[in-house]
Amino acid sequence: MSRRSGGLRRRGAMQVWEERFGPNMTPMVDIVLVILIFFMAGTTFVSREWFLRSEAVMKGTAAPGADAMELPPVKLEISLSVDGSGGTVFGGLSVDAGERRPVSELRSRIAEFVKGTDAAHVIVVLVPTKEVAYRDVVGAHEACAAVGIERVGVTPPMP
Amino acid sequence: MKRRRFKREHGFGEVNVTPLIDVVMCLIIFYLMVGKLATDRKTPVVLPTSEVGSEGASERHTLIVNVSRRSGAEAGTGAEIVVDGEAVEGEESLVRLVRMRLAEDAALVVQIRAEADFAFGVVGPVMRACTRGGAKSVVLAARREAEGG
Repeated sequence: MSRRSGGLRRRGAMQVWEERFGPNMTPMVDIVLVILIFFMAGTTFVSREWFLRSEAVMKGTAAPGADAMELPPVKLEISLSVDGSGGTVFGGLSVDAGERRPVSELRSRIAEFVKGTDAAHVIVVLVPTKEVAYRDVVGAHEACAAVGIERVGVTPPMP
Repeated sequence: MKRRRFKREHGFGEVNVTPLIDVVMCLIIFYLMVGKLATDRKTPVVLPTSEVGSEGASERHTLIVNVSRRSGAEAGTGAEIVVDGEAVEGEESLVRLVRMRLAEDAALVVQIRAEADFAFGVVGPVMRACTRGGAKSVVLAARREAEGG
């Protein structure tokens, strides 16, 4: 029977060290921890919000210094109200002043309206009633921004 | 018989700086995050969603007006106006605050963060107060929504 078999086998120092302690996990744990914290911090800093600029609606004349020969911008007033079923409807984009359509159709109607015109020369004034949900007001604003209308104002309700 | 010697090339006897770097890095990131959260002037608000919009301006030149739900109030009710962590009572107080802050910083942008559930009758007076306070425009905050999602 050989002396080198079983527990009496002579082993090198490196082999003894590896058997006792195993591979060194410290650098791996280190890197994984840093990557984890990096992504946690990254998601905190990255903004998950959009911002829609709404101009203050004021009555008055054109701004001083405006070119008198230039055509005035197209002003579009869109009213938002709540219908009998509780849904938000809009008006102001058709020949029939009394016509009200669901707010979900607003984007396509505005897109039709500004087709062939420079959207930068269109001013939209949203006139919501007090009952309209704020999300629908933002939705209407979003619909205008989506077709390239930059100047959008929201008329606050009278006190 | 030739005996193999365990050499020092395996790293024994040297100073292992890995845990030191690890701890220092964690401390730096921890203080960065704490510093960021400490200056966060936003209150938890369920914002309306939007597919489009622009990136926000620097928070230094932004007055964040939170229109949030009072704790315990039901959806769409019990609004409170919070600016810089302090509740503002009444429209006139907000008008004065906006006027004062605009006098300090002419480049100030007023950002409104309001609950999506609220009726415009709740958020509208806040917009009116900002306009009366001298803001030429207000910025409405919305939660980003993926295109088509």
